Amino acid sequence: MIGAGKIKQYGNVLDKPLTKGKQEVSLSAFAFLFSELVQYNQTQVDNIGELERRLEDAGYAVGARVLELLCHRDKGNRRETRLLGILSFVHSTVWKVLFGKVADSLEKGTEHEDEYMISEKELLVNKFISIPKDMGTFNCGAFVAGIVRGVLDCAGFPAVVTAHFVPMEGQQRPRTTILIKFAEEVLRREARLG
Amino acid sequence: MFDPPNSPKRKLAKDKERESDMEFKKPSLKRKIQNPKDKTKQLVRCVNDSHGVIDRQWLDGSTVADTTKVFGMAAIYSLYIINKSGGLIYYKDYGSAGRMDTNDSLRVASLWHSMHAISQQLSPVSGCLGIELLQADTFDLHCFQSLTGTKFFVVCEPGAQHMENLLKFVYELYTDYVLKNPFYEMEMPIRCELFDINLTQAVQKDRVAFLGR
Repeated sequence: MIGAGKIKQYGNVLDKPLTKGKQEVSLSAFAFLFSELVQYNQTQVDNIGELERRLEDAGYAVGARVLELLCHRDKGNRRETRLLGILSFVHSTVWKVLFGKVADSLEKGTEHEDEYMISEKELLVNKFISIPKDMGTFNCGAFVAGIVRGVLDCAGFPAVVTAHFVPMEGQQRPRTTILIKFAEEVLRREARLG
Repeated sequence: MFDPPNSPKRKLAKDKERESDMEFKKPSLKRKIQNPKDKTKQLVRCVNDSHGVIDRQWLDGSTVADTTKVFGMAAIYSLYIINKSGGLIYYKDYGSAGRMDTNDSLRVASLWHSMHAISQQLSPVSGCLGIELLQADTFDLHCFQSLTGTKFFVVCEPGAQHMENLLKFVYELYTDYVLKNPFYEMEMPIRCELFDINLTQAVQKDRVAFLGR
């Protein structure tokens, strides 16, 4: 519209430039929202396995979108084709953007060739959550496992990702490990690329 | 004072007694209600003393602050959290002095809830939010009520300092580790591991700080 004002009106929301946005989000706001997500899913399922799967699916959607955004914003639209490349991308860039810091460690599994582990002393999503005893090994970090699976899947590295508690001696709270098990085709492709 | 109520001696002395009572009471009334308009600083003192209504403090002329210098160290006997309808949702005792079995602790919680509510109505000053401090011979009871009606109170040794800060800190822990926990149902007993861990750390810290003084 002519003379409508100083602000340039974009006809389509997709034409607006992607800004860096606010770097900080209130932790309490996120904690309450995540708590509500878990509570809502609890009412919809009958068992814990289902609950974990639902949280993972929620995370998958986040992961897919985060990959697109970060590829454009941080990596200048370059695509990762190597296994170690995508893993360090997840370990540093994705973690930095989502949780404000890089993950504690990235390790390769000793028993199997296709296993890698990202471990963290305390996942941000689990910061205020105490799992009751009768829920066994349930971990709300399944949400984060879903995010990682979403990123890897949409980048062309299909994998099975799960979150586990690993008890540590000398510490009251167990560490959390995100276990990534890549599909066969990924390893074959990696071997071919040399 | 211990004569039977209807004795002639008591009746003659009654008026004199009243006057002397007023002498003692008037200055301390001024001390108690510092600024009626300042609702945050209101202190309702309820003194339970086996020797009568006028307690040692007033007769000596000393205040609470003086007696705490004599004691020095502060120990907490127990911590209670009650929900807005008066049910006990958390009870922790520290040491044998405060230990109570489940039934007794439930009774104390509902008793305190009722007393707190009654005191709001009984207060001579309008806008009273309830009892903040109860002082007795062998213990002090500090109470903190949140805006939602959840009450945190601690039974500690007489003259303990900084209990209000401790209660506010416990309130913060409650909002963090209990309310943000998706597995916690509102108004139900608190069974959150993280809350317990952080609370033990806080109370240890408090004890250590007092011992060092």
